Amino acid sequence: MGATSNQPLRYAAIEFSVKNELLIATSTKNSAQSPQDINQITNQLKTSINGSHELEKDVLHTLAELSKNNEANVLEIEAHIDGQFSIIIDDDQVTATFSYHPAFMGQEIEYDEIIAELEQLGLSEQQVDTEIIKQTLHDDMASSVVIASGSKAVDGTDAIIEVIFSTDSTHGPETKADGTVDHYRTHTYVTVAENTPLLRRIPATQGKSGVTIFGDVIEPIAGEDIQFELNDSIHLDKNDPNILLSLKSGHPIVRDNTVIIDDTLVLEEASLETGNIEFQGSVKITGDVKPNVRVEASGDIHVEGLVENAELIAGNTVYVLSGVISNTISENETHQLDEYTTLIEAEKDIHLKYCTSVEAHAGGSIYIENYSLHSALKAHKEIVAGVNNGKGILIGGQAKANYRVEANIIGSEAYVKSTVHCAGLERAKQHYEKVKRKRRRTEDERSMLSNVLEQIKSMGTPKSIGNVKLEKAKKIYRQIKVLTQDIDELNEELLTLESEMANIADVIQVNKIIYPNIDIIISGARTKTTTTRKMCIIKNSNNEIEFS
Amino acid sequence: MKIQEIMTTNVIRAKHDMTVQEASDIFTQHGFHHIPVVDDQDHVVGIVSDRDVMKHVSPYLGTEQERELDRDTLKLLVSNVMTADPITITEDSRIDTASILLLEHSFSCLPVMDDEHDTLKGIVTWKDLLNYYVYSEATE
Repeated sequence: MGATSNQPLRYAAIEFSVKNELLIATSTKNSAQSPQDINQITNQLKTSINGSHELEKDVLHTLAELSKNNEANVLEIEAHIDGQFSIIIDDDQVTATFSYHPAFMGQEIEYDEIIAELEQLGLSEQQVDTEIIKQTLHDDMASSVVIASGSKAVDGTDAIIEVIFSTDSTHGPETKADGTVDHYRTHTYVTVAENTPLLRRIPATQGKSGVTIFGDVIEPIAGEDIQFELNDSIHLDKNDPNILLSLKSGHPIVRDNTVIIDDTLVLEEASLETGNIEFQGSVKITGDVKPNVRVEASGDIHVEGLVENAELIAGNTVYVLSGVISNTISENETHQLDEYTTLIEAEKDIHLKYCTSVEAHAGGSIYIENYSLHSALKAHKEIVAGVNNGKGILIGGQAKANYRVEANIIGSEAYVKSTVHCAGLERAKQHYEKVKRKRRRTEDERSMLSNVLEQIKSMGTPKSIGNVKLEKAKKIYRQIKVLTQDIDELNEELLTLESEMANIADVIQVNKIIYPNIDIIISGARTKTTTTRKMCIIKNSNNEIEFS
Repeated sequence: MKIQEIMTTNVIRAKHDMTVQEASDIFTQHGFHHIPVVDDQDHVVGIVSDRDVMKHVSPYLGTEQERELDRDTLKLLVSNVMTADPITITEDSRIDTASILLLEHSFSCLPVMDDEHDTLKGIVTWKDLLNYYVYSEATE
């Protein structure tokens, strides 16, 4: 035996050979570094002699003793082993395996024996691979081969519903351009537009049938199906019923096999924890809006608590059931109020219970229940203080509205300086004139193009004037239509402005008291109150302020 | 698209009482081919082109044949050689409308007016329009 180390060879090595149909075991002294045990001797037999051989246990022990005792010897061993085979069909009857042990000086296996066994198992010669059986019988080595195979059934898969819109709503604080970190920009409130794909359903599959080696069909187990649960905010895609679309814009909430589109985002409060809120839809905050938070919604913003040093920007209307306050007001060098730490903007109206040091801009009107202190209020339509039978007091700051300003009390006994500005009619007239000029200009341009078109028409018929002129005429005709559309739109705008102007009262209505030191500006005329007046209507009469 | 997107502001203008010599100096200095002419209130009263000037200036100027009569042509006023009452547009005019007017009246430029004050606000030339139609993404 080959030595690979420097250890002395102190044991006998066992080797096998075949001579005259006898198995010969030879023990050679000083040929192994370690004694050979029964297993090693069995392996040695398998690698030395082709075919299958089994030695009696006592023979193996004898050989192991020879190796251990380092004794030389030659043993002649009679080893007659008959050929053996088995055919095993697996439990699901999809494969049949033929295992074969060749004979060693014993009875060989006959092919017919195998066929007989197959028939007993219910398999005909045509259902198995007889070639591979014959091939195996020619080999001297023991082996196992698959002689017949069907196909397994493939079970169906369960239906899956997957979310296909972006649901990522949190991110780390944002670093601003100046290098500071904005800890209020930590969330994005997910919104979807109308007809946004929300969920995709991958339907269950039925699976695929299999077949046994006997030719019987194996039925698969079908996958379990799931259906979308529809509601009034979602619908199925007409082109693909496995896609669920949003029926309206809003905040999508995924629930198992459905999505609810909520057009109102409801939060307990807006604070550092929620970060700034930007939402396509309405936002309802049942508590307070804490300092430095910005709430922006394309719809309404409802706040049931207090708003302090924060910003509310609404695409529709802002409602604050409690108050809106700022703690600090920065002043510029001329000591004019120039910055407010609380800002409220609404495309339509703003409804407040009270406000202190607030900047509020409304595309519609501003309605205040109790008071506005030192605030800058600007409304496209009217400012009314005293709604819902509130106190209706305007003290300090500015109140500027286009249509009218109404309050129960303006100013205070301390004669706090305030400005009330009503500039609607003057501005509306200016705008009206501008639109009229634009309409006249557009009409002039349309007239000039019409003249050019008439000149081309006078040159002949569409067929006779040639392609270039015809195309030119078509282009001019189209442009005349565009200008006509522009003129129609300008006419509509003029009608709207006329109707708006009819609604502009251009007055300041005081229901109880107006104190001194109030700057009154109405359509260019101005005055400052110097005495306390009771209930009055203030208007511009021939460019003079008149109290009545 | 509106003219305000492509018009040129800060327009060099000629006063109606400028001489042809002064107008000629402006053309030479700036390389323009046409400039709007305004009155004292900056109302546009005409357009003068380098060709208008050339047509009214004696060809003998600067030659051996130059006479007093030739030199007098330089004393002509711009208002005598300009095209009066030009077609004008506003910054709200549509580019297509301006282009048709420019092409069909064979103008090289159109003054752009401030509609409220009826004063000159800018100018749009055939080059501005060509640039828009060739290079603007809106026309692709």
